[in-house]
Amino acid sequence: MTQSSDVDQVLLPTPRVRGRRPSVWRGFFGNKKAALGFGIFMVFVLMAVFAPVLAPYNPQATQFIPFQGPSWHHWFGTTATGQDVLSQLIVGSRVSLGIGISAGIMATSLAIVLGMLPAYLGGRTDTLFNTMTNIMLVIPGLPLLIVITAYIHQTETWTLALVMGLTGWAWGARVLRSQTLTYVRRDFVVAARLAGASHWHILIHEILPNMLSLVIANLMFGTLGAVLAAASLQFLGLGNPNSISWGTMLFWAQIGQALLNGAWWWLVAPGAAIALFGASMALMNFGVDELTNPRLRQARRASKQFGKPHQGRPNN
Amino acid sequence: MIEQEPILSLKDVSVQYDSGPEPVTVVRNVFLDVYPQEILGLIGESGSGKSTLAYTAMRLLKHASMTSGSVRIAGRDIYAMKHEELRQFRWAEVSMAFQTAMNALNPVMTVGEQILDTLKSHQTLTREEGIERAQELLQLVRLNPDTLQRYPHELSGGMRQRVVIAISIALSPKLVIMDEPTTGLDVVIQRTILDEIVEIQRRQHFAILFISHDFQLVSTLAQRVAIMYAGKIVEVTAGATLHDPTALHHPYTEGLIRAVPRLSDDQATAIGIPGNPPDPRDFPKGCAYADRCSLVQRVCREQPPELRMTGSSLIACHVVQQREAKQYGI
Amino acid sequence: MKYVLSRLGFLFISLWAAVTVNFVLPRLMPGNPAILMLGRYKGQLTAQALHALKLQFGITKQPLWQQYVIYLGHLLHGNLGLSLTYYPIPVGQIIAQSLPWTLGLVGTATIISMVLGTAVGVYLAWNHGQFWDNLLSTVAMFTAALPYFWLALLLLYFLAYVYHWFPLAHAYSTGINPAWSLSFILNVLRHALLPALTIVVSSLGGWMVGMRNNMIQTLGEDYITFAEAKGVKKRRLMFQYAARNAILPSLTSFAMSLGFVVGGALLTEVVFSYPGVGYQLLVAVQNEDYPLMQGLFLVIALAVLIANFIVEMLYGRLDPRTRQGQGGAYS
Ligand SMILES: Nc1ncnc2c1ncn2[C@@H]1O[C@H](COP(=O)(O)OP(=O)(O)OP(=O)(O)O)[C@@H](O)[C@H]1O
Ligand SMILES: [Mg+2]
Repeated sequence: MTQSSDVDQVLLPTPRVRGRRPSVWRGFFGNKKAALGFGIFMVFVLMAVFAPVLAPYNPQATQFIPFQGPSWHHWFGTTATGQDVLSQLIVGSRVSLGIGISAGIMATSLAIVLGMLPAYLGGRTDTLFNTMTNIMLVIPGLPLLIVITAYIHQTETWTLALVMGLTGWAWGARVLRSQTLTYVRRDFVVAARLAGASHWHILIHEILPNMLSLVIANLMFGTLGAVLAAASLQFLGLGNPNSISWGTMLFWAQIGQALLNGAWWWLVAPGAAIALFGASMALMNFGVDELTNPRLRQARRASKQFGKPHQGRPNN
Repeated sequence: MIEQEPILSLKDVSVQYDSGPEPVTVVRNVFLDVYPQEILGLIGESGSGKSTLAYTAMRLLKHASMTSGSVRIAGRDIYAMKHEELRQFRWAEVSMAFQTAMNALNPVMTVGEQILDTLKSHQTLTREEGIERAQELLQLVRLNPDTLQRYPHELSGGMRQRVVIAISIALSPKLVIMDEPTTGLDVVIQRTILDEIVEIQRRQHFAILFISHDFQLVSTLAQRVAIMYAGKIVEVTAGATLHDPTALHHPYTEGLIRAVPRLSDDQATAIGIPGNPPDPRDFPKGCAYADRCSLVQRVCREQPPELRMTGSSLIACHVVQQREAKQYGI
Repeated sequence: MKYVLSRLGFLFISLWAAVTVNFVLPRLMPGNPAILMLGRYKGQLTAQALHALKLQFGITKQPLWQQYVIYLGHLLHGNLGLSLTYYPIPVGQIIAQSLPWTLGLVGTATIISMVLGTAVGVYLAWNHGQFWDNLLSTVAMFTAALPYFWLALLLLYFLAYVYHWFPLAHAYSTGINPAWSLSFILNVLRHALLPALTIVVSSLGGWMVGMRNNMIQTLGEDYITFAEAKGVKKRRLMFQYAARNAILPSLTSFAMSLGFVVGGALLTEVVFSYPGVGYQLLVAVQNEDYPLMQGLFLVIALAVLIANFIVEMLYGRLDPRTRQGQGGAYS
């Protein structure tokens, strides 16, 4: 373990101190990047929840003049078959966010189990699972997804989420494993064990809460990765082309030769939505990073921005 | 000795850390001079600000700033220097062996390269000359010359500490600041390294600012001892007075003396000081030691005491100063 | 030496895993998807080819382990079967034609991106909290989230379609014949520029922020302060002391994220109709040409695993601590 600790050192959570949660949250929203990311994220979530109310037209209806540029009636123009791009974008957020978030949650849960448990148990189990994790990490993910979905044939939305959740846990498992290893021999864990606490109790109540920031970071990266991967697969026609999502919009834009017809808006809108959503995840993660890792903060400005002090003693 | 020009002179130095939610002042109005060739001990509890003071003296503070005072090395104000000037000047005059020798060496460079870097940054010399000098230095700290080719992770803690000391005496500075140079080492190695340090110091005649919280060790090693409490120097005295039962001391120093285990009456006795030092975020208005002091009076809580020549020492305590004054009928 | 052996061991285990995944996947799917494929292509195949395909995809009565042994045997002989799309051209031949393009484009672009991103990251960390650091690390949040293929489409539209600065597609102009001539090479470079730009722009931010954060972390280490104190000059301090150490975790994440980067880069080929492995993969998928798809997946995995191995060897050279076999990138 000599070096892998610096590999994952981007986040160095300080051991939990009870009753300090609120200030962590205050710190999170006090961080400009994190707050901006959270704001964007909430806009998307609200958009997905209220999609039927927000969408100006039926996203499937082919009732308008094709290839209209952005206008007051069609903010993001129309498609080759005369559908309203904005309506598709709003309704499509449901599938895209749904896949992304559920795959993110699934991958993170797997990462918690496959990363923490073997590290805690140690010995052969750990070696075995660690090797498995490392193999999963180096096998190129998107090509693997392409192959799997090609066999499945016009993958339904939930299958897509499932496949991505099942293949996307490796990175998180690796990070959580090395963090768990640093806790296993700490006083508070040893004390809990001597006091007769069960393995599950120790893992869930003693170790996991300390890794909350890592778990959150993982959730965000998992979601970001799944949104991007789903869009890629759908763009290649490997999703269900009849569902409406940002990825399938790009697929139809490509099929409908949007660019050759000069209909850039048809491509720009869904792609920008993906990028913006992804950026919100990255921004929140960056904020959490700065919050948990004192060195990433700038000394002076930090003094006005953050909650409680951390044990940052670079000199000692 | 007193007539000499100090090699390091701290005047009214205050330092605050800026990395927390609000700035915290951890070193407060410190005056301290170190004279050529002497060993000055600096003692204080963990967190009293010793390392911070050392970094301030070297102008190496990170996430912190000196809010008042001045630091002079060999008569020159190092905070007025430009970076390049400072870079050339500093190590040649004053060097420092870090408290964390374990982490003071670059893990991806050999010991030899790291010593050579020190020499080359200040002098023009050929590689052969450099290596020769590096080997000399290693010999001084009793390391095998082939240590030059080794990486830090291949060395034991004691060996690394010796390398750090070798680097700190590489340019024959006039003062070496040693920040707890033997923490984390076992007792036997601690002792041998200390003996080596003293021996080298006798031969090379540099001064040492020796930082430690080992009271007994410092009181035997140092000619003069400064005692730090809650960011302030509360007493500066000759090392010998610490073994003199009649000498006047700050109550905190008295506490430290009593806390040393004594093998008298066939049984070891040591009396700790009750209570804890105050939180730097919330230092009291008056004397920081008041809450733990058995002699405390009203004035102690209202007014911070100042370092004054009291008996044969500099002491910052209202009560001791008053007693002394009464004794001599002033 | 121990380190090299352990990394070699890992290379073989992961290779074996990739090979096995390839074997297991079609057999794992409900209702073997290969049956459908064979139905579509039946008329065009010779009996011998049909039999080989059935064996390859498990439509046979033979026990699984026998199929596995035969499969491994074929692989060892470099026999990946026949492509159906390009029937009767062997899959191996198609790979041999497309792999150099991908290695040239994706490989070069990835290396450029990493070197550039790392250098900028070092600079930003050194000027932590200042204008460029704040600006670029925020911009990187957005570029990191850009889908490669989407950026590719936009660049294609604006720089190639609207402004004609770059060719629209392919690796070289259709009119000319491949040859080792200057004009051909220039033509190839002109075609590679835009796809390479796409890959660099979308992956640069990741390397940059990663290196920046590692470097900031490293700059807080005691050995940096100690080196500064002993008078090491700024340039040497920045590179030999800080960056040399900060790059180690960067290399490890480089090794690990190679798979992701390559995946994204392959989609770039699709957009530019660049005749590399990624483009062929799409062709295979669209035509349900499973033998070709399997072969391409294997070769992509192989390339990534080998690149990964090379990075680890580099890591071993840069970090003296790994040379005694005391752990390493993956221990
Ligand atoms: N980077 C930092 N940010 C904020 N506060 C700090 C930082 N470094 C040190 N401190 C605080 O400054 C005070 C003095 O620390 P310092 O390291 O100087 O103590 P010390 O006397 O050297 O202790 P020790 O004997 O443990 O080495 C402590 O209260 C510490 O918490
Ligand atoms: Mg200290």
